[in-house]
This record gives sequence, structure tokens and C-alpha cells, in this order.
Amino acid sequence: MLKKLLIALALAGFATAVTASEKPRLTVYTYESFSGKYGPGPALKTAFESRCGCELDFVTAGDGGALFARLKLEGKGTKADIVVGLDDNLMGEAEKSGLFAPHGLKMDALSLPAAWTNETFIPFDWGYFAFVYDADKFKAVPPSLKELVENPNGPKIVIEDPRTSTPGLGLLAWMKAVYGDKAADAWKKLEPRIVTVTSGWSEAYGLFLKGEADMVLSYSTSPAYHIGAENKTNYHAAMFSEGHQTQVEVAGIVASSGQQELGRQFLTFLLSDEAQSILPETNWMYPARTPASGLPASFKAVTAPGKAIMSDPVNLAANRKAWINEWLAAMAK
Amino acid sequence: MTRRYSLPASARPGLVLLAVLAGLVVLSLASLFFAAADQPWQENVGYLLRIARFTLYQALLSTALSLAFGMPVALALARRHFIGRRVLLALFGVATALPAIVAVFAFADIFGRSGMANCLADAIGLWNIPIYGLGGILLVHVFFNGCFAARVLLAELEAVPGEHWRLAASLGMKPWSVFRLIDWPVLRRDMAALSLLIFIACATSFAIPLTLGGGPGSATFEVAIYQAIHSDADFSRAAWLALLQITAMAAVVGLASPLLSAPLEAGAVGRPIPRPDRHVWWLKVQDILSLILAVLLVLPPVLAIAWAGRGLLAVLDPQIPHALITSLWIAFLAAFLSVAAALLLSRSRAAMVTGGLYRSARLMGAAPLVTLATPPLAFAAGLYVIARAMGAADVIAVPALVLVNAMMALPFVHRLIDPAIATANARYGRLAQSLSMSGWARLRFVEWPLLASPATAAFAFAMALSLGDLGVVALFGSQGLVTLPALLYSKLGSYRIEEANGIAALLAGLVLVLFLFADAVGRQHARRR
Repeated sequence: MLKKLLIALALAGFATAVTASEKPRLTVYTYESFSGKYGPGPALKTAFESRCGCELDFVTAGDGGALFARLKLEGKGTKADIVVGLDDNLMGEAEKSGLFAPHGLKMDALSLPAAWTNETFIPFDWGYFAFVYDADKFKAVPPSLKELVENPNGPKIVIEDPRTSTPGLGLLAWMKAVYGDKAADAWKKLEPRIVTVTSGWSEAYGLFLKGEADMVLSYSTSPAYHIGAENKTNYHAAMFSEGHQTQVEVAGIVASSGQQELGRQFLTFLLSDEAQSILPETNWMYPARTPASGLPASFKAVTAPGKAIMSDPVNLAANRKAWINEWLAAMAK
Repeated sequence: MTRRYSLPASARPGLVLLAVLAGLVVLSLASLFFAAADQPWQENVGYLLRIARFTLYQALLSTALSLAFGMPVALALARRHFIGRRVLLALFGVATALPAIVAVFAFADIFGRSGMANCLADAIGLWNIPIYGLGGILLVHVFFNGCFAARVLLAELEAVPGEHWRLAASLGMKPWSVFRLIDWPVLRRDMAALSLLIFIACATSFAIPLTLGGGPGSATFEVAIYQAIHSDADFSRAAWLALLQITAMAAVVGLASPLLSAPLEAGAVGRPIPRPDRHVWWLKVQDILSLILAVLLVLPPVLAIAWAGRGLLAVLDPQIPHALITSLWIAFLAAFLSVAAALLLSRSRAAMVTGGLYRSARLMGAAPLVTLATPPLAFAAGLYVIARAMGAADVIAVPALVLVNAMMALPFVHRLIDPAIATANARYGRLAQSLSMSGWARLRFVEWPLLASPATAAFAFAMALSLGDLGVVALFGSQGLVTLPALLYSKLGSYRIEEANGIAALLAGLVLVLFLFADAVGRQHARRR
């Protein structure tokens, strides 16, 4: 009986193997939730394959950080043609690695808060970091970051660790942008109200939804998901007067890829109306170039922050370790 | 007899395997180191020392608490047979095998700030239980490891020959004497090895201390390694830190090795006989309290997972069966490898004991712990570099996953199997040797009757650990290779918490069935003798 089970399992396993085909292949490295069932991946794949007469393969790594780590491990021999899903924090390191080729595309008519000048990567979506709360359970929403930090009776929050997650790093940069040299003191003031620091966004958001904290560090577009997919309007993002740190997700062509032209086609497609209208309600971030049809209703229902604090990749790459050390020292009990 | 110390031939396969494992670990870390050796060296030694100190501190406390939990519960289960005993044992298995994030959510549901326990406490007027801090870390570590300890110790207690109980009964032994003369020697001989295992498991734990710790100060060494690979892509640093961790754990094992005792020479075999200390009233009270504690620890989180995932059928999507089959297939292979490896290593150790090499036998008994001390991400990354150098990078994902899972499960499987092999060797070793029984024949006739129960449990453990492990897939996934935990994470990353809860419930249910099945098979085979 055991033998039969073994054979059955082995056959089932082999039955999931991918078969080869004749058309040109474009291998896109991206993160798990991008190419997953609810992500933009499947729809983008169908749309692009019908245009280009090629085959699009997604290869997934866990998240943006794991994506970059894998790419660096593979080095020049990587099979990737395109990498989708690095963010502007990783951009500096990625450029230094020499693994990417310039995109050579014109970056005009984008809907980003600031002009895009990077030659190697193109933005495909972006968002603001924001603290999300449940309006049914929490009413005393702070109007600014300073208020959140300095009010000793303020909300209990759950945040992510800057050592292991990009929102955590985003918050670090945000505090630095608002407080400058006084950031360490600010963290000390905030520390008693931090319920916990999780290793990733999923844990933090899950704990928030279970009611473990009043607010969670997430994106200003998180409420759009609840409105669009679940029809729940009680989740909101707090708007801070100092402005919100942004995160821009980028894509780039791998220098060692044999499909440079096809890759460039894909990048152009990513910024096309069709792709940009798929992205919002699958990736739950703002499109880099707002499509002609405009934003979906769930996004229109969400407030956008008035001011954006763009990240400076060069500054971040140079200071990241020092900022993290400062944060660790400030958070030590 | 001309030579006092000799290495029997039957010890060699195990030693070769150990050498291969150690070689693999060293090779993979070395390749990782040289993969990106051009990085500038920036080290914050004070930070590393701080997290090393915390790592060791929480591991020590967790080990002590896990054993303090496991021992009374094992004794209670040995003494009492009641309806639901098998389910409770299976739940202990489930507890050990849950993915970290599932356990964190389940405990947050029960013990969190707005969890059930605190709602109850508020209603009664008690103070709130703080889960975010050292207490939470210890609680979840005891959940994972205390249950494993209970199972291991129970297996040992149940292997006591029936003659001992008959003798105890006829001598009219008081409960304290029963404990001192029968129970304690049995418990003590595995205590050191078990404590080492739990210590290293807690010291290398990553997500639990970070998420439940409440702050960045409660990070373990694994966080530094994870950060080096995942956030900094600084591989040489990761390799260096991994080597440091393994060396530190090896030093701990080396220091503790005098405490690792060789198994007792067991007497005759007998059929199971009821214990004479079952009817003492204060032991009854103690056992009931221990069992209530065990149930309170294990049942609520599992129920919380089941409840959170109750909408599973509504959101059943076609990806789930595919991921299920992939996960089962990989888990099966990993478990098979793990059990086979543990068997070889245990045999080697038993052969060393027969040959008089007691010190080597002790070290051999602790050797599998090196695979637990190896950070899986660093090891897998190193394997990947080796595979690329050999041009096999395309096909490396599944074998790497199976290998990493098998190595991760090896210490636990070994801890379950080793005592049985040692006892079989002590009872029948010389007879088997005189009949020139080795290899397959030895397994079938000599070892299997004693091994059936622990081996099936160990197989279930290994499968369960593999089913719940996110591990390598996070780094080397592809669209064809989707395992259940990877799917869970993918859903979480897309805001689909409900569906992720469903998958968690599926995972827990699957592991429960696995353990019930494995325990039943083990019992059936054990009864045949």
C-alpha cells in the first residue's frame, strides 16, 4: 500500500513539470505575491503574451529582499531577463551590482510625486507608507507623525523590523526625514507604545487585523483592498501633516540577458495603459502612470496624503547601517 | 580479545554519513563565503555580542521550562490511560510542526492583547497577560519543545520492561521509590541529549523571538544571519556568522558531552504491565493537574487555528491541492531520508558502545545536532552556489528543499529513534552479532519490533516539520514549485488573511491525521512482538 502511495505521489509530482515550447521566452523574476493568483502576474502574462507572441515565465522569490539576494547569488549567469519588484531602497545596491542594463526608455507623463531620473530602472507602481487603523475601534487618530511619537497616551502600534523588511526601513527613513538628528530621542519616546516589532509586513498586518494593536505600519492604499475586495469601509490610513515616506517599485532589464529587445518591450508594456489598469486592484499600489480610465473606485475612496517624502537611494545606501544601529541603541530597554 | 577498543565495521556507514553531512555544511558555507568575497567588512561586534547573549539566555530558560513541562506530563501520560489520550499525543505532534507564523497568530488569538485569555481576565477582573516579551517567547517555545519532550520521555517510559513493574509491585514499592529507581534513571539518560536538542532548537529560532519579543533587542543570532542574506545580500558575512553559530553550538555540545550517558544494559523483554503507582491519590491529583496544563497549552491554539480557518471550503482554490501534493511528496522524501540517516547514525553509535568506545559514542549521539545549528537559509544559499558551479542550478530547488528539510528534521528523528536502537543493541546486539545479522536482516528482525513505534512517530515528525517549513522555497521558488507554507505566505502578502487562515487550518489538520495514522501503525507493529 505504501508502494502504491509512493508511485502515485511521484507521478503527481512529475505531472506538474513544465513543458518547453518554440516561442521566445522571457524570464521574469519577481516576488511571491506578484505572480500569485491574486497578484498582477497572471493578467499581465496573458496580456503581454498576446501582444508579443512569446512565452512569459515567472520565477518567484519570497519578497523584494529575497529577490535581490537570489539575483546576487546567481550573478552574471542568471537566467533572469527582467526583474520586477525591487524597490527604491534596494535600487542603489542593485545599480552598484552591475547586473542591470540601462532601459533607454522615455520617462514622461508619470504620476509619481517627483520626476523619475533613474536610467537603469523604471517605476511601475508606488505607494505611501501610512499607519492604518480600524475606525470602528480607534478614534483618537494622530494628525501628524510628531503627535504619534510624542503623545504618551497615543495609540499602540505594531511595526516591522528595518533589519528584515522594507516598510520597517521606510519608517526609519521617515523618522529621519521628520526628526533628523533627533530621531533617536523620538524612537525612545515612541518605544513604550510599540506592541511588537515583527519580521515582516504579513505578520504585522495579521496581528493588527486580530486586534493586537490600534495602528499598523502599512500602506495608505491598504484600506483600498478592504473596500474593493471585502466591501469593508472601516479601515483607514492616518494622514500625517509632515508628509508620508514613499516606496516606488521598480523593474529593470538584466544586462546579461539575451532578450534585450523583448525585455525593453516588456518594460514599455508595464507602463502602458493596459498594464497600469491591471496593477491597482491586484498589487494595491498607485500606478506609476495613471491609465486613461483613471483609478478604480476603491482607490478613489481612499485619501491620498498631501505631501510625499521621496527616498534618496544614495543617501539611504550610505547611511542604512548607521541608522539601524542608532535605532537599535534607542530601542534597547 | 587482543584489542580493548575497536571500531566495528557496522559503525562505518554512520560515520561516513556524518562526514558527508559535515562536509556538505562546510562546503556550502565556504562557497557562500567566496561567492561575494569582495564586500567591505563592516562588523558591529557589540551588537552581535548583545544578541548572542539574549539568544543563549532565552534558549536556556526555554529548555528548562520545556523539560519542567515535559517531564510531569510524560509521567502523567505513562500512568494514566484515558479517552482522548491518543488525540492528545497527536496534538503534541501538531504543536511541534506548525509553521512559526501560524503559531504566532494562534497564540495572539488566545493570549494576545485582544485574545480570549485577556477577554476572560478582563471579565473576571484579573490583570492582562503580556505576551509580547520574554514571556511570550518562552510560552511558544514550551509549546513547540515541551510537547516534543513529553513525547520523547513518554516513549522512553513506555519502553521500560514489564519485569520492572512486576518486581516493583511485588516489593510493594512506594511512589517515590518507583520514581527514584525506575522512572528517573530512564528519564535521566535522555535528559542531557534532549536538553541539548531543545537548547539548540530555541537558540536557532528566528521568527518567534522577533515577532513575540516585543522589540528588536529580543533578536536571536539567526536574525543577524537572515539580515545578512535577505536584506544586505552580504553573503560572506552570512557565511561567517553561520560558521560562528555552528562553532558556538558545537562548543556547547562538547561541554555538555560528559553528561550524555550511554544507555543502560536492559534485561529481559516483557509484555506491558500496569504500573503499581497508579492508585496513589496525590499522584492522581498531580497527574490530573499536569494533563490539564498540557491540554490548556496545546488545545486552544489548535482550536483557534481550526476556527480561523473554518471558511476554508468556501475559498478552496485549485492551487491548494497542487501545493498539497507538492508538499506531501517533498515531505515524504525528506522524512525517508531523515529516518534512514538517523538509523545509520544510531547504529553507528550502538556499535561504538559495543566496541567500548564510550566517549566517541557520546559524541556520535550528539553529532546530529550540528545540522540543527546550521542556519537553513545560509546552507541552502551555499548549496545553490555549488549547484550553479556544477551547472545544475535549474534542478536544484527540489533536491535542496528535500535535503534541507531532512537535515532539519534529523536531530528530532534521531532523538526519537536512538534510544530504541540503543536498547535493541543492548538486548540483542551480541546475539545478532553471533548470528552475523547485519543490514536489512538486522533491521527487520532485531530492531523493528522496538523501533516500530518510535520510527513511525519520527517519520510523522519529519513529514510534519517539512510540511510546515517555509525555508528554501522563499529563496528558490518557481511557479512550478509551490508548497503549502509558500502558498500561505503568498496569500498573506496579498492581504488574503482569510485564505491564509484556511491553509493554516488545513496544515494543522493534515499533521494531526498524519500523527494519528503514524501512531496507529506504530502501535500495530509493536503489538506484534
